[in-house]
Amino acid sequence: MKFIKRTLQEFRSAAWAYTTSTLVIALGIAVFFFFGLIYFNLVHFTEQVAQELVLNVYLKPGLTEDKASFIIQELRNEPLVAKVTYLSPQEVLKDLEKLFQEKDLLAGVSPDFLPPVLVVSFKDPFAAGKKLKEISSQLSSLPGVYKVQFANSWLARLAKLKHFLEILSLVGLLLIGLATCFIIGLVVRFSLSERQQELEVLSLVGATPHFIQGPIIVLALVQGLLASVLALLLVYFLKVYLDKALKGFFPGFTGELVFWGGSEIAILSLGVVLLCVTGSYLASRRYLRY
Amino acid sequence: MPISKRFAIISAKMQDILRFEKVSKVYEPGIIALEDISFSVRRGEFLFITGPSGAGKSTLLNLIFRAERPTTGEIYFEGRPLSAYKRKEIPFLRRKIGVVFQDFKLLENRTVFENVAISLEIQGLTEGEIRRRVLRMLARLGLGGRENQPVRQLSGGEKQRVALARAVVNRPRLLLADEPTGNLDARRSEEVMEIFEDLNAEGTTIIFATHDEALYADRHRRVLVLDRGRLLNP
Repeated sequence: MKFIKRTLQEFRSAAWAYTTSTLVIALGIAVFFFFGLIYFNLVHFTEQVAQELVLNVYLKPGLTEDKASFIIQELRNEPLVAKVTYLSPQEVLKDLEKLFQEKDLLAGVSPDFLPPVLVVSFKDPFAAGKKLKEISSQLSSLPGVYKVQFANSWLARLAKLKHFLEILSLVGLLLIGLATCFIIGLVVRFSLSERQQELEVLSLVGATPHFIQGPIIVLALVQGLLASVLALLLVYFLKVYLDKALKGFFPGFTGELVFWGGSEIAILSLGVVLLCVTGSYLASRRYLRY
Repeated sequence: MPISKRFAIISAKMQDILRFEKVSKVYEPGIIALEDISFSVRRGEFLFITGPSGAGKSTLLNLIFRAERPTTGEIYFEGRPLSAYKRKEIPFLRRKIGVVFQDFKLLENRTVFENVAISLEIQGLTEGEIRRRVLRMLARLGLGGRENQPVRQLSGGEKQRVALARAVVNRPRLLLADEPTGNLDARRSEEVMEIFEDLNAEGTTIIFATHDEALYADRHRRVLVLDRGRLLNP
């Protein structure tokens, strides 16, 4: 009870400094979160596109799903494979009709003319990319397989793009993260430097570091939490705006930007809280005279 | 050495609340603030330390409550060397030593009550006990009824009395005063001196640093004279 009272007293004694520094920290964090979200989505986007690049195994005409079961089983035994779908010639024709939309183009094409297809998707297309040639040649040698086709060049390009984006994200976030740490450190130090004399006096009259720093640390914790919530709200509203603004802007991007999940939000908030608490602890420690 | 003489020395040492042994303080780059200072203070004594500005009076007081450390030599408080105190023990040492600073060192945006209560809050006393002791001390120092006033609204003399109240409210064993009348007129200075005399009469040991000869003349107290960091009458 006494501790809460002292913490409230601590806040009242420097309410303006605490409020403004929380807002500045929230803005700094928002910049970091926003760029983090953009990088996160860019990497996610390349993964999504890669996920759509599938391996097509064209089977010899007349090979039913039952007869192709040993090929399907062979594929399912491969640890990198996520899903194998058998498309009968009729389903292939339907897909073609959907793709071309003009029925005249496919007039007179009989389903018997088309080969059945096994559509193979991978758990991690980039990891599978390195083994695709091997898998492909293995499959080609199986009886009943007519041809194996995959977009290897696209996958390689996407892998390079993803690698580049990952490095860019890492360097970018590192720089922005350092700048944010610097801002938080400066803001905390600046807000405490106004009360340097107060902290000195307390230490000179016999207050323990715990007595002096306790309320400051608790307020830093609250500050970190508030700043995180404000920053996350700001970035979430920006995401909602960008979802609307970017819809149909990029080819292939029709959905929404991905926002962080609960655990990621918790980790980010915890990071901010830790930064604020550490910053406050170190800054206040400088003014204690023991 | 005969036993009776040895006993007399030990007994004398036990009565010393504070002892300086060959203490020097040198600030970089080689500025000597105190040089080879040795003296002791007995329990219940009212000791004046005087000397011109820059003689080392404030430095000497700062060394006693470990705001600074000596470069060489040793200081003993109640028989224990200050160098033996660990960092975590310093707050507890300071609770035994009240300090009145020349520049008051009050928390300007807090009330008179809050400023004085700090000394007791840090010791974990109950709210009722804190209230009782603070109000009694304020009344004694002529600040009754001013407890809710922000310190920044007080005059220099009133601020000095608040600083004194904060220093003595927790009944310290040793009271250090660094030019406590430096910002006061003659009448206020005399009032403050009377308070110090009363506290000393109740048993508080006082070390009073001042450059004002009028404050210690005719008081029949021991006076140590410092000049350029050296004790002229050890």
